Amino acid sequence: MRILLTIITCFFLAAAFGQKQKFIAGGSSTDLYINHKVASKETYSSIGNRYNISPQKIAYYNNLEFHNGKLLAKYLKVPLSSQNFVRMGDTRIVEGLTPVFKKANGKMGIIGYLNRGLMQPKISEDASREDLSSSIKDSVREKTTNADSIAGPSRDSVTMVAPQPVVAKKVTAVSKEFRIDNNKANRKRGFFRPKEYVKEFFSSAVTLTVITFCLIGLIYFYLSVKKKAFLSRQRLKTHVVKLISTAIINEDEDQAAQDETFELPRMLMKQFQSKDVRQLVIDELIVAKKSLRGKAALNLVQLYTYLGLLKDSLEKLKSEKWYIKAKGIQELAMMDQSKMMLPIFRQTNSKNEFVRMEAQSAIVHFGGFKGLRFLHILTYPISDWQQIKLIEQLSLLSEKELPDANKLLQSKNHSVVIFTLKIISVFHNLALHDDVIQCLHHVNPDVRYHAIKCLTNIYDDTTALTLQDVYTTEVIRNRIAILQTLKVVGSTEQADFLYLQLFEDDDSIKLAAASALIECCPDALELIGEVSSQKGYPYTNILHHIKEGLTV
Amino acid sequence: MKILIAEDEPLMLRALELKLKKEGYEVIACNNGKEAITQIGLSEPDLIITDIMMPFSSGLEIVGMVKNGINRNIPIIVLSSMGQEKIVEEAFEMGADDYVTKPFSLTELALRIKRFVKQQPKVILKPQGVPVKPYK
Repeated sequence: MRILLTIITCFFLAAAFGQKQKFIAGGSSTDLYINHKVASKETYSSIGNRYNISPQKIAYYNNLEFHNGKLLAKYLKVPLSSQNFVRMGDTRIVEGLTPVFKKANGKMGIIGYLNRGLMQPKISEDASREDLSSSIKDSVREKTTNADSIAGPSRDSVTMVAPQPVVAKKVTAVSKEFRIDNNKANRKRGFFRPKEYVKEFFSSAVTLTVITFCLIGLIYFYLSVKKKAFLSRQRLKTHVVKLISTAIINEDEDQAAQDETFELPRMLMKQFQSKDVRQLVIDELIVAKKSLRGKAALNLVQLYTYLGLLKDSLEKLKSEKWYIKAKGIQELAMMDQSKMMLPIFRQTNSKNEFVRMEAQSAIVHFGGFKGLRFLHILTYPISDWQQIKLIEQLSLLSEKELPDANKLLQSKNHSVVIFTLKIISVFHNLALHDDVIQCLHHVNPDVRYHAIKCLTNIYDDTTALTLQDVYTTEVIRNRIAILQTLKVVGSTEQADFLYLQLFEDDDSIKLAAASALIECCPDALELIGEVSSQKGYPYTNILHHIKEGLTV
Repeated sequence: MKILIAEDEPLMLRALELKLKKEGYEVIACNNGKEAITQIGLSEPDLIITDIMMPFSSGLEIVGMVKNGINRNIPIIVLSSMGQEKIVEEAFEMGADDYVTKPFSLTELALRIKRFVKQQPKVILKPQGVPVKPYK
């Protein structure tokens, strides 16, 4: 439906653009002219030829000096005279003249026709023979009468004079193809003269229709090729699914060890040399590998190796294009090709972010926590998203210890320090408490922030006091983090400190301090209530917020 | 025992079908939720294994329809991906009986199915062929 509407719109646009330039006359009925916009390289002569008027007349009419060179004027008035203009009402109408329009009483109408001198009026072929013969007779009689009156010769000696060409007072069309019915032509006046535009309209329509059908044909051909390729791929996919699913459920270990286990279906065997088919098999293997573990997953890896698909993945790893390289790394990781760990490890500090991410995930997949040794060589930052992905991968492992964490906390790459703090926090590595405390004095406020957050999960008896000590030197965001941590790690010893924070300028600090006070001090609610009644806003809101939190 | 599997991934569907047939079960394989609902009505399976994310009707909708309908006694095992814990909780609230997270082991799934088979009451036939529930 959309295609049909587009075609119809193009059809009308083409018809509109196919129309010729309109000549609009100006001036009075006795002094008509056409405004002509001078194009570049136009001269008086070229304009004169166009309008069938002498170039000198144009120059004179516009009070300009005539010359043969390029015109500087932008607009010229081209006078309309009997030489180049035929008025409407004058019945000397010859097809092929260009209509001239003029606005009168708010309406645009045709006042005449521009005669460019291309057509000359001639005798009509269908001029009546009777008329002709009678006119000949008249002329002969006239000559005879004259002859008689002069010399009185006999009739027999009258020489028949060749009849003069009859020039009809009313000039009609010169030939059949140019004949028009004057009555009809005189009846049809005004803006729209369909007969004159019909030819051009139909030629535009035919051209557009041909182009449209060619385009439709091309689109149809393209779609049919695509469909054929899609159906072929679907058929192949059926065979691939059959092959892989048979491999998955194979649980006989002796059989699995033999190469004859995996029989390629004939359909697949023929086309297995094709790169696309091999890629299809790899993609399906990866899909299955993501959903399965245990013996079935091992079978998939064996099938991958048996079919020689490792070569394809290695080729991708060597590619210069980052997206192909990343795909290769992903395939090798999913298919547990840990012998490729070294070339993949080199990509963990690649300048391309996506290659880096895939390589880091692959190394963690192969080596677990030990795989995180790439953090020692990493010069690029680890994005928050990548950190979440790696922590999720690590959380599936049974071991929970990060080797050389204290060295990583001293890394010059701040994102590495932050990532290490997150790992320590998530996996509750209490042994690293003192190293995390050192991070409270780090240059970077984000590192300090994450160190404060980390202490929520690995605190001891001294943590609250340490946080209290660094509080005054911290930025607002970190102060709020300290107060939130004190909510967990604080005790009654922090009550006075927290009470003082209720009177800080920042409302977020007031709220965080009030929340922490509630946890640390048993009478905190009454205390805050008193402050609220004395001071009013924002303590009333804070109290209301805390009470709501308590009821939830 | 008739087991209905609803899984939109063709490879996984085929693998599960082959595995369960190998275990001796009759398998009805459906590759979308709509087909699964139709087949549940037609063939009345003894156990349903359904993925959560499927076209037309999700696994949760299947669980809801089965547990609120006349087939509410059919046990349902839900296949979920990692990170879909909340959806699994929702499935349990709607009445799902068990869940398996991907990546999973086919052997583990087969053992879970056997547990449901053991829980099915044994039917004793009278001489005339009318089934009678065992006296407990």
